Amino acid sequence: MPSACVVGAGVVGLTTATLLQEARPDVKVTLFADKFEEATTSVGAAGIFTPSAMFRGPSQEVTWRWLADGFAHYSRLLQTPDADEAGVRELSGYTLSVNNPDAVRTPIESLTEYRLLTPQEVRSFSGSWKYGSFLKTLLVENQRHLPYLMKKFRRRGGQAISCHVTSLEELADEFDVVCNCSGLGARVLAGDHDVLPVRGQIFQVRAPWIKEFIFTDQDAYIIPGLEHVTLGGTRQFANSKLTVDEFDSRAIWEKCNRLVPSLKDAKVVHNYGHGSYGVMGAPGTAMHAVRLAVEALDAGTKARL
Amino acid sequence: MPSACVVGAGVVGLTTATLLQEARPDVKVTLFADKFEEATTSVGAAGIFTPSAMFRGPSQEVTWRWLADGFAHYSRLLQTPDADEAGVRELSGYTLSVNNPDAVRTPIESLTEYRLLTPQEVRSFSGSWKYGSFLKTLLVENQRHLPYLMKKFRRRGGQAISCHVTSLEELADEFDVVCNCSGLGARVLAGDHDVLPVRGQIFQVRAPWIKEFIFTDQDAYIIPGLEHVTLGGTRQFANSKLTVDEFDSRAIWEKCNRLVPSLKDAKVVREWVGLRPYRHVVRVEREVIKSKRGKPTHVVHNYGHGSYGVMGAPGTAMHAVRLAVEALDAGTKARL
Repeated sequence: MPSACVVGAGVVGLTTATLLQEARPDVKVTLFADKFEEATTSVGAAGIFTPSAMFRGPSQEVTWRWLADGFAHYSRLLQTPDADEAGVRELSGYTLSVNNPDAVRTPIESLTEYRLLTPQEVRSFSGSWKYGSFLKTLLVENQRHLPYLMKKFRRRGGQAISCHVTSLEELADEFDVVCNCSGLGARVLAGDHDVLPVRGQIFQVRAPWIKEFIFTDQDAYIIPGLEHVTLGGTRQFANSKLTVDEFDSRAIWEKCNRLVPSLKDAKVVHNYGHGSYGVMGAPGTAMHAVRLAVEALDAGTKARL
Repeated sequence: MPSACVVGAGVVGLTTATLLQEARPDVKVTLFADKFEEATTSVGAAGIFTPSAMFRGPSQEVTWRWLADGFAHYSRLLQTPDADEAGVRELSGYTLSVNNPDAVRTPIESLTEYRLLTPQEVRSFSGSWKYGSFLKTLLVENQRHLPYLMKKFRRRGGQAISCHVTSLEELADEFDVVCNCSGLGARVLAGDHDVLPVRGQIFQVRAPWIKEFIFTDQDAYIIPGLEHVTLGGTRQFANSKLTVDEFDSRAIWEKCNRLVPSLKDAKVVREWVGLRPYRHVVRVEREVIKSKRGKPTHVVHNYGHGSYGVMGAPGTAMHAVRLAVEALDAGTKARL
């Protein structure tokens, strides 16, 4: 019986594992990770599907396919009875910039409702914004989505092992294919120095009156999810500080309150630190990874025949 | 007479232009830029030669060559009577990290004095640092270095034109080789979306009692230069805000003061914001483009240095100049 394993239980690892099970129900899939659910980087992500030019595949065509596949995947999930359990919702909102018209555009303009804001609309936002756009998109909240995927994974016979993987070579002894979805862990597991931490810090607050997202290119953003509203953020390049920074807390709180003054009444649930395009990239890249894994499994089978 | 032009008057553009003149004194070099000296991104850089794993060339070998060539270049300059005018000085100091032993290592350990700090030494720094190292390196202050390079450039017959270049194709009509050292401008000039701004904010202060640098991987750093001490900083990925941010000011000031309490007596000269032109790999490449009038012209790209403009300039410029000289030689051969 062919066997495969996946390293990493973030949104990318779990999506890859479940899609692999779907593509090859005959393959036993085992998942290895040292962090699950609340301990993952994924769980703090707001999970909004809003690509920018920073999401890059090896070519424009591949990048587009990943985005289109991902958007279609979550859109389908939204239409099923599982949508709520899976943490998927529709979400509209605004993107603002003080000086860069490109910053309010998005590659998925053609897939959904999108328009530029009028100067009047832009001025209605507190701050010296010059450019703005409106977008209707999707949000996937990992606090629900990760358990949903894990349940699916187990129901199909998948086995999840909690351990710290120190080398892919050791796992390779036991499996026909090893899928490395280890995020920052790939610095060590794949010896890949192109992976760098970009530190994100957020607040999670209760503010159920917030119905739309606001993104700005000055780090501040407000994203209403299902369980809470995410107030962000930071994108500190090559910074690996895992604890809350008081200066970042103050900056995030004040910038978000300036944007939306009613947030002064929001109740803080969590104040902690996290990531970028994990949720958005997961289905598209996972589909691609699964295609590659299946090719490898098929080649292995042919080699044995 | 063969002719070449360079786009960009930051440290990378000026270094490329002057090294090209040295390699080919027979070539007339013209420099085009819309920002000079005080208006450049380069001028706010502390200019310290401290590479990390984030400085990336297309291969480990090339990256190493750039670093070794650059360190040798500034070391030589340090030994000349020009050192002071050129803004070059030796500088030692410390790098600290709360949780990452790799963060206190550096690729140039073998080129200079470097050692890990003892746990006791690490604990002597205020804060919960766990790892630390000592390094003796160089600093090149652009407030002096850019005018120094420009003077050299002009003395050798170079011409500097102030203008906003909107396309390399237009310049290509007029020159045998075009060197694109436009930093963030390469997003437009080379259509390169791999170049992203990483926003940096700093204080420049007078605090002449500060003799050594302190780097931390939690954004705060203190770097004494020749004219002032630089207190930093931020590395805000994909943020292009050009004005001072009050929250960043507070964070930088307080973090630096915690590290070195005597900074409370430092006199603030100014606050400054710059957008580092970051690219995952610094692009030093030659290609042939069609000029506006259809002439095939060599373009040598040299951009994407991010935090490492000063540090990367000589090594990458030497590489770019080699590519440019090959192109000029090829052009000459074609005509014979």
